[in-house]
Amino acid sequence: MRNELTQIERIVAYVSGNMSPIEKTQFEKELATDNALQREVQIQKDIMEGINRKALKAEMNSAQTKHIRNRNIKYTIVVAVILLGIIAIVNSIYNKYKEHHSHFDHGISSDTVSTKSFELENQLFEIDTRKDTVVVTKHGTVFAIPANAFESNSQSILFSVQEAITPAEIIRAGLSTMADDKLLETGGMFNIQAYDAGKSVNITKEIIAETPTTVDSKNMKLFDGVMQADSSINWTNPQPVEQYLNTYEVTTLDFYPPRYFEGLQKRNLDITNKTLTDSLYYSLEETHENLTIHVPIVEAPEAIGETYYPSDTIKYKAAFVQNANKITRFYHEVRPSQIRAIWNSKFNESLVATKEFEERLKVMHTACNGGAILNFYLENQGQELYKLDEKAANMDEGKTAIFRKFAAEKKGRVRPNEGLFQKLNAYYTEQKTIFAEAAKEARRKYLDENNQARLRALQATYKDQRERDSINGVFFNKEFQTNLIEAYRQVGKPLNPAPPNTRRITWRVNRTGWKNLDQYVMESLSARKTLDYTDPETGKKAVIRFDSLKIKIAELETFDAMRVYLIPKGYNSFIRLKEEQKSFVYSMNELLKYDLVIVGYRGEQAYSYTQQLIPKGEINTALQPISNTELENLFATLAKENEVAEFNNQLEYLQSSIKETKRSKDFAIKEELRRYIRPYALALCGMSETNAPYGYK
Amino acid sequence: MSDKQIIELLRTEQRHKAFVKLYGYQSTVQKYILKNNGTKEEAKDIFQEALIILFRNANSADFKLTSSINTYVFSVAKNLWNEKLRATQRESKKLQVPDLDHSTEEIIEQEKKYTLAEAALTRISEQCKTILELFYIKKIAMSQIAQTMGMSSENAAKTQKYKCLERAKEEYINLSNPVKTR
Repeated sequence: MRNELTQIERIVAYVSGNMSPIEKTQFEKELATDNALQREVQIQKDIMEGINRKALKAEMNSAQTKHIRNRNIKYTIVVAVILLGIIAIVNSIYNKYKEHHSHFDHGISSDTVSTKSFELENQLFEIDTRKDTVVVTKHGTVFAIPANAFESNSQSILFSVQEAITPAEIIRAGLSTMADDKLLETGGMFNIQAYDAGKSVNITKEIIAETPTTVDSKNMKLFDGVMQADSSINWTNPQPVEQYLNTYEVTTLDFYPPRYFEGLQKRNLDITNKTLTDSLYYSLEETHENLTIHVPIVEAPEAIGETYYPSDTIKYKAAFVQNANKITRFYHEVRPSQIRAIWNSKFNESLVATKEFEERLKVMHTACNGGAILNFYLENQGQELYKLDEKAANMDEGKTAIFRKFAAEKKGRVRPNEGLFQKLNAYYTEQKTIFAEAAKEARRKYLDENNQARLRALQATYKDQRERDSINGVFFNKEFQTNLIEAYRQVGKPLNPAPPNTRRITWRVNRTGWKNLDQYVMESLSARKTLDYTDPETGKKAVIRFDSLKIKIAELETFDAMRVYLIPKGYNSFIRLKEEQKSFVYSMNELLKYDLVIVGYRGEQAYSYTQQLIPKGEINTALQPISNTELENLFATLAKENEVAEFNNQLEYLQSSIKETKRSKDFAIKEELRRYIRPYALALCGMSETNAPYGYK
Repeated sequence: MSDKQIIELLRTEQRHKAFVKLYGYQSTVQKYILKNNGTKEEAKDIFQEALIILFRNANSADFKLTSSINTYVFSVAKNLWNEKLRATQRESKKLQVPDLDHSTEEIIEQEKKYTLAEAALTRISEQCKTILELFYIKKIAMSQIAQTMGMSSENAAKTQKYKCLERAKEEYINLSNPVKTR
């Protein structure tokens, strides 16, 4: 046995290149003649290379981890070292360490720091205690150290880390992985220490550590190290490792109420157009006040806690005090302004940016008290998610079960960054109020503008009406004069020298029992029916014919608006014809000559038709496109030629009426869509998160 | 880091840096293997093997690299995977496999023996594994090993180490000549 070992020793020395030149020459001489030895050497070489392969693979595995970390992608954070664990290791080993080094110089090199009993490289980091600091160790463990995390007033602290990750390091460090009698598989051990001018200082704030590992973290536990009498360490008090949450770009998550998209899709709206889907959802904000439901509660409010109520509802808190005997719980559902305040990239890296939050938010949308729950999550996002889930379960009876289910998942936090959370909380609180106000203001303005547009349109219509009434009144008098003169001429009587100096309205009063020619002419004109009068004294007849005119316009129904005007020549007037059964009709006075002007609109495009001195009977026309400028010129020319300035306004009234028709149509569509989508987005209280909105037909 | 720098690093104690860089090429290999009937685990192994081949090549006397490292690693990986498919008689469409230079082919052949030796090392006792790893991979002194493993002396540890190598040798011979073990 002894000889065999010696022989192996020689072979190994030769293969590893550890022989002296003399030994080597001697050995090679033997080798040249000894086939068995050659074979032994070859085998030994193969085994050494086999060992080498193991070393290479170990290096590669660590290189892969490092490569992934370097790529700076979001990776699963696996091991967190909680303060208790650190201290447990530190205290036990540090005591031993102190025996060897009673004096510690600040900034001493790592070689001098390492102790005989703990032969691991001591990685030192100088920390500016005024700032949050992140340090990364050689094995890629990340320590996130908040500002003022140490029991010291010094600005500069020396942070020391010793890592034992691989089994070899653990053995080398004299650490064992025994937990009572059981051998543990380890994800790594750490000795963490902080020094201020050579003196060890305590850690006062939680430091978060992450270690990359390929082991499944769900089964990992965190142990405290306890030094045994034989100076080995027993690992006790296993704690589950925190399940950190991965974050995503916030804007890629879906914060809409469940089935909101489904509602939009039913109306063939483009759900990929976030501008559209956002503006519609956020526009629903103004109705939120109707969503605050007052429900008497059975248990005392302490069970729920005041802070869970929306911080912006001071009056609610006051109500608690006033009605101490008759307690009412004020529910508040998730509001669009709350969503708007968080759904932006500022919340990346925070709880909001996680799939877990997205999932919970879907439930909050259908919770009667969802808005308060949402506030609660956001205000406390520095805490582990499962703790929030547990509390949320008590905030809404309808959702207790599902939040308990969430809590059972034992989800932890996002990689904490205290400063960020505080800033985000302030931002959120401010923004949700701003957005709520802005949404209400925008809605108020929108409705206001609608009302004003309607009012303007109405005023224009009245003005148009007044102008036409006035012109038609004058025209009526003139036409009456014309007819009267002709009637008297036909019966051969002189015209009454005093024509009725009154307006049309007066003349329409039916004066029974007093009939003369004037009256017959008036009746004929008022009814626009042919006058056929025989003078009782002379027996002469007076006949003034009214001929019917019927204008038919091709494809009339395809126009959005249509105006048909007659301009009686030499009367400073115009007549707007009424539509009757798809045609425009009038009763033409045979004594007058008329020009015809037709203008129509299809959308923005104008069409027109004009004809001078039209004949009686039926006119069939087809309108031709015309530019707005040409149209304006036409109206201006006609107004000037016929000395009726008001005709010029007609085009303006027409255009504004078209605009108003379109606007009110748009308004109606939008309002209808809001009414339609609302049950998909709001007031989902009490519905199951998959069935909402079941009440909508 | 250029290909040349990577090769240089592979020849030094800083080869770790080169490996970190080389892992950037893993995704190409992984995609290829996943597409051709393999698993993620197999892809990882094949890629590691290809890196070992590259490492051996970089450290061999007649080293030459006729293409980029990326292409080289990918070619080697393709060859290795093709061979594995054939060995395990898995159904697969005929793979297009690039030709490798002679020295690389030799290295691959040789590596098979080393792989066998590596397998032999997994068959020895836990204590043996630890001793060999600490000594040969972690380069820890025998005296330190003796202390941490609770052995009476450095010599005792040495003796133990040689015994372990003997055990590995036996396993290796068994693995190399499977007929004998039947």
